[in-house]
Amino acid sequence: MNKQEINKNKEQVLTNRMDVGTREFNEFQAILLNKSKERSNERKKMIELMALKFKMEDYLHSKDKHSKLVGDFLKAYLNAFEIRQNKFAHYIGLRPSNLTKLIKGERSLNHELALVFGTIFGNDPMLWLNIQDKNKLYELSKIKRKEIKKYSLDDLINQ
Amino acid sequence: MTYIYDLGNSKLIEVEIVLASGKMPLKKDGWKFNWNKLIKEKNTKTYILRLKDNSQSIEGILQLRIENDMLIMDTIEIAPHNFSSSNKKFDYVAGCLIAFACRESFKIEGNYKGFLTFTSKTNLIEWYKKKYGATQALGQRMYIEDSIGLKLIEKYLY
Repeated sequence: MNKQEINKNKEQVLTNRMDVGTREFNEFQAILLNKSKERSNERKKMIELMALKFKMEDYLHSKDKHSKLVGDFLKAYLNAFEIRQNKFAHYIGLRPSNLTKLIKGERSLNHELALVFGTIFGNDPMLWLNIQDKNKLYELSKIKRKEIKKYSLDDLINQ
Repeated sequence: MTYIYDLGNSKLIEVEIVLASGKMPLKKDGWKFNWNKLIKEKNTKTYILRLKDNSQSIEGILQLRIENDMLIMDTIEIAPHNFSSSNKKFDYVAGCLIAFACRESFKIEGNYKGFLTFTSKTNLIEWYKKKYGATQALGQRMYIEDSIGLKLIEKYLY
């Protein structure tokens, strides 16, 4: 963005509230429905990928703690594109049982798999790893709260 | 990260867009809507754009509504100190809020995913078209489609 793009609008309120349930609203919605139906499969796929990416980002940056596993997001991707777990496991060279463990959170996502997921679903592999780390840190901070609290910089300096 | 432009100091300032809660700004302070009442409306979500290090400073407010699976940007209001061209404090507030609304439109379910819809004020129709790539569909009813929305998200939110 640069300074030349200064907003020239002089209104404080930028919309009128939309009346719904009217004939014009229904016509408007019909126009959008047609637009939506005209979308190519490629475009629909891109929209779905972006939607899931945004949901992952939102979870990562939210204060929400450990409510969603990496596996929950993976399942959402597989469901969105109607890919069966067995098919996916074979495709990425993983035993189906190990994929199930990963989805349930019983097995960790490693860096190589994060790269694979990132490549297949067109997002940043770090996103997968960061979500896993967020959850793990939360779990650990709960379990080891007392042990960890004993550490401090002042204590270290005065040793 | 999201930034708005501090016109006085010619620098970008980091902001965040979060769900509105607690006390909202008042009409007596120059706001047009009674936001304390508006945030209680059903089927709506209200977001505030505020400076990252100053949660007291609200620079703009956005209300989104889902109606028949369609995301509607029902109300968008810029803080009184951010709209007048003579003494405007921050720029890009509207852009950030509109881009945020576009991003939300991807997260809804159904046929209208990726469409951000709204009713423009008559005198802003051309402004929306030119500045934000919006399409006029019917009268004052407009929408921003997914590909344009993604460009706005890239420009204003990342």
